[in-house]
Amino acid sequence: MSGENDRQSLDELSEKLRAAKSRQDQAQQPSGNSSAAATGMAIGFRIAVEIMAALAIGFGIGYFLDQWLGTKPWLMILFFFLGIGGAFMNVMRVARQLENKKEFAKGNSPADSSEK
Amino acid sequence: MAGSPMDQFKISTLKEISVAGLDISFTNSAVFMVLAVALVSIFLIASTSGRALIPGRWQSAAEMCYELVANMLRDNVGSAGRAYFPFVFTVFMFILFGNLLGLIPGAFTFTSHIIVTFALAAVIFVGVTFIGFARHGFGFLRLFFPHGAPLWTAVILVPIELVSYLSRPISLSVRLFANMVVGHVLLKVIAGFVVLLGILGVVPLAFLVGITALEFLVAALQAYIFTILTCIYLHDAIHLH
Repeated sequence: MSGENDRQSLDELSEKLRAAKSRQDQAQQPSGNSSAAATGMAIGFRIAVEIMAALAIGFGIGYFLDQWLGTKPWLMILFFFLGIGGAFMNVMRVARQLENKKEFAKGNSPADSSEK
Repeated sequence: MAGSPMDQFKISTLKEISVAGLDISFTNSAVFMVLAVALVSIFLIASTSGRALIPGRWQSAAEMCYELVANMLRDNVGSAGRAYFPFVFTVFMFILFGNLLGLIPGAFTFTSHIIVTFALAAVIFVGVTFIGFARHGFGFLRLFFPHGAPLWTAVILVPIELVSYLSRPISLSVRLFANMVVGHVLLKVIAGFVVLLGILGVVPLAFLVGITALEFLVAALQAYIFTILTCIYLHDAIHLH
């Protein structure tokens, strides 16, 4: 039971695992092509809805605050611009997620970094 | 048959119930919700009752659903998310079965009503916010201010983040609802062409076959997206960025 020997066999095992994983990834790559159009549509739709929701919420908050406080157009205008900012934020977040997923598919595992 | 394409979304009351002035009648939408819950239960209980070491077709299908959600939760939330697995799995199966049941001709799609999807999204939104406050106390409010940004930018960044955070239930519910409505209206409209064109109706009929296949994909994909966004929101509540 020497630690040296165990370490070596473990290293060999992880090497084998990595090789098997990359082989599996490569095998999975082309199969996703047929549904690529549908997934692309889903991504586009997701971004569109994300923009729309942030704008609607910004506009809505501004409108109701105006009604409540009696500052007719000003808060609506302010929150509309905040809504635009929020929409940008949402889109950036979606883009970052997709980027992460792509990295993940390539084999670099960023999943551990999110773990605390 | 040849009604308006929006007829399929009409809610009809089957049994009127009213409790303390509130209308909680049993509608065709409710029938399909109950049906979805019943089918999910039957599917999962019956398929796993054998507990075979080498799973058969049904058990494989049930295990695939389980593993899909479990992996999603592990990749997006980490080990801390395991406690919320039952809820996330329930949401996934309910929406998946709701979407798929709607593809049966003559069936009602309860996910095609904004109030249903919004109720689901609102429960998730409130629940996630509650989890965030329970875990971090007022430290949860750090979610609204990016780490490392200069302090004076808080004036503009905090309202933007707040709007972005509040838009979550809207985007979550509108996406599912709009996808289901668009798909079903498209199917109905093109099916109308088949009848109108007589012998030439073969062309839209062929088109219809393709769209039906696409709708199955959309039904599964939207259930998946709804669930993965739930996972991402959970991640934000637990880990803060």
